[in-house]
Amino acid sequence: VSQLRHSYPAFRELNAEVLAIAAVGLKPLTAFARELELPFPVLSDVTGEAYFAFGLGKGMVIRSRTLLAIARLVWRAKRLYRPIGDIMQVGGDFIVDGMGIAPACADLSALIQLSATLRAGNRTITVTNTPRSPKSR
Amino acid sequence: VQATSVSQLINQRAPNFALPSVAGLKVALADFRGRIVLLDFIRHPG
Repeated sequence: VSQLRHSYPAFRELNAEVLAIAAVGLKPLTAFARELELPFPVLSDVTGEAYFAFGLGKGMVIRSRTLLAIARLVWRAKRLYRPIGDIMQVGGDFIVDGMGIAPACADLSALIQLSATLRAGNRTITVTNTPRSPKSR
Repeated sequence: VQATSVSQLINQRAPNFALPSVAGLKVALADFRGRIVLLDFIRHPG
């Protein structure tokens, strides 16, 4: 998300918009958006309807990376860390083009590809990847 | 809404949604019809 903050001006130049969505309530999300100074709309999807509509459900297993991250935090004796929302929630990025078509993409490489595609005047955006489970910051 | 797998969505019309934003506005994907939108589904903030 914070990476997107930096590339946001480039997006706006292309008349594109960024929408961040999180499956948490408005209150914690407002704090999150303010902390990261996110310049684009940040939407609260408590019921998970948008996640669901885009095929992003709950993960079946806690990813080893998540476990590792938790272990690392404990190891460093950081302040007790309780993630907001559901750690099982799967995330992902989608690019919806001007025609209302939703190809999925992942990572920022796809964004670079997107801008290249736009400059070429080609509306079709190719899929580079399946949705990642993005780190939130 | 029917649960879909991500692969089924590719090159299909995007499902619409309308959600409250932290700015206090109701934002719908349909508001951006005709423009390119990047949707970033955050896994979990914080």
